[in-house]
Amino acid sequence: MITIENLSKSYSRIRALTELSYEFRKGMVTTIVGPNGSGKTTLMKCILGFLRPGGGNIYFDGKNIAGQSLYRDRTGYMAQKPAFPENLYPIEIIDLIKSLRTGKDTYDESLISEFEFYPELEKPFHSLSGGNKQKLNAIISFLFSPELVILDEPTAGLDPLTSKILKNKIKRERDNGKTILLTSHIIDEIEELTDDLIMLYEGKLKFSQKKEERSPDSQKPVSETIAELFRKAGDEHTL
Amino acid sequence: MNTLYKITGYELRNLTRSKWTVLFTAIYFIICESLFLLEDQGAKVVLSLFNFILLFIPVISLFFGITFINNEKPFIELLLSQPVRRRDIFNGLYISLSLALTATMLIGVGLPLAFHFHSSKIPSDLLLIFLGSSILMNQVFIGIAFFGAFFFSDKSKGLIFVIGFWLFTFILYDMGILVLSYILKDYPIEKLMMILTVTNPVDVGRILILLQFDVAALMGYSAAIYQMTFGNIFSSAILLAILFVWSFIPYYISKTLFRNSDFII
Repeated sequence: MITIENLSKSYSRIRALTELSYEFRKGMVTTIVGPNGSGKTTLMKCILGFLRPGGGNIYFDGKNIAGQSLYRDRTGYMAQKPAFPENLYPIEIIDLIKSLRTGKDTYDESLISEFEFYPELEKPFHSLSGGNKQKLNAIISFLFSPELVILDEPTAGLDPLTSKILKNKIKRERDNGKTILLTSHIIDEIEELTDDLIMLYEGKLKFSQKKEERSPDSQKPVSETIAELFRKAGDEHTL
Repeated sequence: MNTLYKITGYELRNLTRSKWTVLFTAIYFIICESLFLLEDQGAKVVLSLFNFILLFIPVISLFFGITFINNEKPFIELLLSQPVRRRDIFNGLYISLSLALTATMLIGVGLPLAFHFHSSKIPSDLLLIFLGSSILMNQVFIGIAFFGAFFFSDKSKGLIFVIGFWLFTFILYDMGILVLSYILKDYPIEKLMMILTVTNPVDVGRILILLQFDVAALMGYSAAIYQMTFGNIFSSAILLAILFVWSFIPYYISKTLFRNSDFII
């Protein structure tokens, strides 16, 4: 689905990504883990085209995305912090985003009812609580049934019930063959959602593990693998 | 084009609901109406109003402009994740902010001016030059605010830049010119002064309005040179053209920056 080939990105003198290569598989939730500043968000933003890579290529279904914008018709993105025009109503924000997509006449509005968000649709965005703002963010990211959904810490700021609804949605979409890229620091969430796992450390791919590489009878949970990786990375850094 | 229209429309709706735009309109209205209460002659009111506009427009366009863009940056990120061209996002934001701030000024000063137009005998050519130069000044400083917001990914650096730009164009630049004219007082510096003046949009605005009045005593050095060299009408046309160029340059540079560089918030 998404193939990264020798991807590099620097901010002035800081190397955020160094010759990263990986293939994100269709129909899988790939969780990207790594300490703060390891390049997770930079990688996501390169895929979405906010940042221009310093080197390497990104392919979406075999086509290079450099200079392209139409592939984003097939993507959904949920940013870490929700922010929309303060004086617009959620219904207007949804209408605006709908109007920017070409050739779509059916929308996945299941999250609006599941989140019981209908009463919030007619209130100014600035008057919504932090949790409701994040709900709107989630609703928009799944609105067009995108083939690729990029979620940057999606459940941060959500209450446990809403968080569960969103996680169920992610699993349903994955089962429908959608590709999900996820970053998170919440171990339970990673444990519950992860199919493929990659770890970034100082902009380099430190570890990758496909779903089938984890033996089904293994008692070792994903969280333990991650803890071990963080420990190793920390030791190497100290040495 | 369609995308541009949609982004502009929704952003304009967002801006017109802001309490700030209502406040700016009220300030323009109160100042303009107060001037008519103090002075009967329409031409003098316009002169006083222009002095106020020269201070107020840069402040609003720079500070409200950069704050607006910085607040919109996470939403711009969401727009960038849609199948939309970057130039449509940039132009949508630029046009909506320009229309909103121009409307606050046109409504705030336009209503009192229209009401007192006949009774105060405001010359139409003076009114047109006043409105034209006010709109262009607005565009110049909105362009500078966009440049500050997109050149500096760090919001505080962007804000420091616009504060510095305002201080420089409003106060420091003229102090520099004064010192320079004193140092070079024994040399023919008329042409140099004319060139130096057009490099500051606030000075262009000041000279433009002074040229419309028979106020030789108030006229600065540069304005007097313009009047002597080109005459009133030709000078006004040149200065309006210079303001137009001034409004285009920061717009073009910030659009190029937005289109070709990383978008970091």
